[in-house]
Amino acid sequence: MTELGDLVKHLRKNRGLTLQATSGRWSQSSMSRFENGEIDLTDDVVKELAIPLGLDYEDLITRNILRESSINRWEYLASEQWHTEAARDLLSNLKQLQVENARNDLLKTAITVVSELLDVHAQHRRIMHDDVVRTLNDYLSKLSEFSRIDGILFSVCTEYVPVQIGWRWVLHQIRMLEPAGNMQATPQRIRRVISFCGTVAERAALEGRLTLMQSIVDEMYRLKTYIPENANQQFSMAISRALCVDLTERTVVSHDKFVAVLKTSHYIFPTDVHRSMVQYTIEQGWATAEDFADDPLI
Amino acid sequence: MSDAFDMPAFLKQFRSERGITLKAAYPEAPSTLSRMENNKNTISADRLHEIMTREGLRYWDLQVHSDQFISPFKQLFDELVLERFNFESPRIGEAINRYRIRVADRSSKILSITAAVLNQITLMIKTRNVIKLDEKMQSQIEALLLSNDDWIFYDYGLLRLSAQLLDTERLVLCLTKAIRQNSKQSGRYLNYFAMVLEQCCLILVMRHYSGVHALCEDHLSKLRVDYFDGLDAIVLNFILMQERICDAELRANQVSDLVSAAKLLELNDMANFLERIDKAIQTGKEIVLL
Repeated sequence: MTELGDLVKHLRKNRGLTLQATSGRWSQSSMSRFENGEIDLTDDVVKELAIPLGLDYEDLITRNILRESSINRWEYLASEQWHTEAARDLLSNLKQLQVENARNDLLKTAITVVSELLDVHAQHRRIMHDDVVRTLNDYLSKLSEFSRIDGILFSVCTEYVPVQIGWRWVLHQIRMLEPAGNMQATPQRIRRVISFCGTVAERAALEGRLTLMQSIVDEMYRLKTYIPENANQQFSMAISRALCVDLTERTVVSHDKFVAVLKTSHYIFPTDVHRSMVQYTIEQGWATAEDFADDPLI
Repeated sequence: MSDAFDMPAFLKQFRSERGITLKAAYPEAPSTLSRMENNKNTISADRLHEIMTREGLRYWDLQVHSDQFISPFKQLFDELVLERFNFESPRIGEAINRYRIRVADRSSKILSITAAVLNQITLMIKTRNVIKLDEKMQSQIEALLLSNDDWIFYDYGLLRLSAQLLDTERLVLCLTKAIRQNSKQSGRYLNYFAMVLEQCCLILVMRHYSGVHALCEDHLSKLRVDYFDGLDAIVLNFILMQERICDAELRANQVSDLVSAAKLLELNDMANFLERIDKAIQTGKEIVLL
C-alpha cells in the first residue's frame, strides 16, 4: 500500500497540514510510518482522512489503490457497447471466483447470463433461451433491492427477454421504489428504473405489443416527475413515446415527430452511438434511410 | 440514508438473499466471516475486498446505505451534479446542511476554503449578482490547486464550484493546470474534468476571454466523443458553436436548432439555460452561473 502512503503524504504537504492534524486516532509516529509504507492502516484510512485531506473512496478506486473488484468490464455487456473479448474475459474471471462445492447463486446467474449473451451475439438471436430466463428470474425475484451488479445483469438481459417477463421485473423494481405507494427512492435509483422501462418499451415495440408499450411509456412519464431533469432519461422517454404513437397511428405527422426526436440524439450522444441508433431503427423498419438523408453524420 | 448503518447485518442479508454460502464468499475461513456478520469480530480491508468480489458487492452499494463510505465533500458534490448545480433546490439546501454537520468538529485549510466558497455561492444566489471571492481567498485557492501535482477528486470539485468566484486570470491558470492534470492522469478523472472544462469555458466565453478557443477546443471536441452524459453533451455542443463560428447569423441558427432540440425533448430547464446564457454572451453582461 505504498501508493496510498505516497498519496497521503503528498496531499498532506500540499494541504499544508502537520502529522498531528491528519493522524486522528493513530499516533503521529504510526501515521509517519504509514506514509512511508512501513505499516498498513488501510482499514480506516479513508474515514480518518476524508475531511482534512478531501480524500474519497472514489480516489482510491480510480487509482486502483483499492481494487474494487477484479471484475470490472461489465459495461461492455450492454448491446450498444458490446465487446466480445471483454465478455469472454469477464466470463473467465467469474469462473475463477467460484468455490468448489459451495453455492453462489450470484456467480451462477452471472456466468449463465454472460455465456448466453456470447451465444446470442454470435448467433444473432433476438431472444434468450427459456432456461436462462428462468435462472435469472429465480435469482432476481428473491432480492429486496438490486445492487449495482444485479442491475447490470437485469438491464443487459431485458431486451432479449419476452416483454411480459421483462415488464414484470421492472414492475417489481417500481414497487421497491415505492413501498406502500410512497416514493422513497433516491433520484439515482429512479433514473435507473426509467432506463429499464425504456428497454422494456423497445422490446414491446419489437413484439408489436403497442397497448402494453403505451402503459410502459406512461409509467416512465409518471416516474420522471420525481427526478431532476436529465437528458438521457428524457430522450429515452421521448423516443419511446414517439415510436409508440407512430406505430399506432402511422401518419405523416407521427412519423415526422419520431424522426425529429431520433435526430436530436446527435446533440446528446457521441457520434458513433447516434449512428448506431439510427441504423438500428432503420433495420427494424421503424424508419427509412431517406428519413435521414439530410443528416450529415449518417 | 441512515446514520445507524449496521454493516454486519447488511452484509449478512446481502449474502443470503443472493444464495451465497459462507464458504463460497470466504473459502479460507467461513467461520471468521460468520462471526463478523454477527458483530463478533472485524475483518481486514483486503479480506473484505475479496469477499465483496465473490458476492458482487461494490462500494457504490455501501454508499447508498451509509455516509461512512463517502466523504462529506463528495456526498455534497454528487447531490449538486444530480441537481445540475441548482442551488435553489431544497435537496441542495439539505445537502449543504448535511455537509456542514459532518465537518463541524474538524478543521483544516481545505475546510475553510470550501466553507468560504459555499458562503460566497449562497450570497450570489441571494443577490443574483456575480461577486468574486476576496483576493486572499482567491490566492489560497490558486495556490492550493497550482501547487498540487496529483489532483484528486476534491481539487476538480473545488475548481468546478469556485470557477465563477475567481478573476479571469486566475481562472485561466487553474483551468490550464486542470487540463495538464487530466492528460497526466490519462483521463482517470474524466467525468470531473469534463464538468470543470464545461463550467470554466462557459464563464470565459461569457467574459469574452479571447483565448478559450486555443486553450480548450481540442479538449471539448475530444470530450464529445469519449464522454457520456447527455446534458453535458448539449452544453459542450453549445460552447463549440460559440467558439467555431464567426458568422453571427450562422451561429444564431445553430444555437436556435440546439434550443429547439432541447425543447422537443422537453428539456425545458436546459432550453432556458441556453437562452439565458446566449443572451449574456450577446450583451456582454455576466450572469450568475453556478
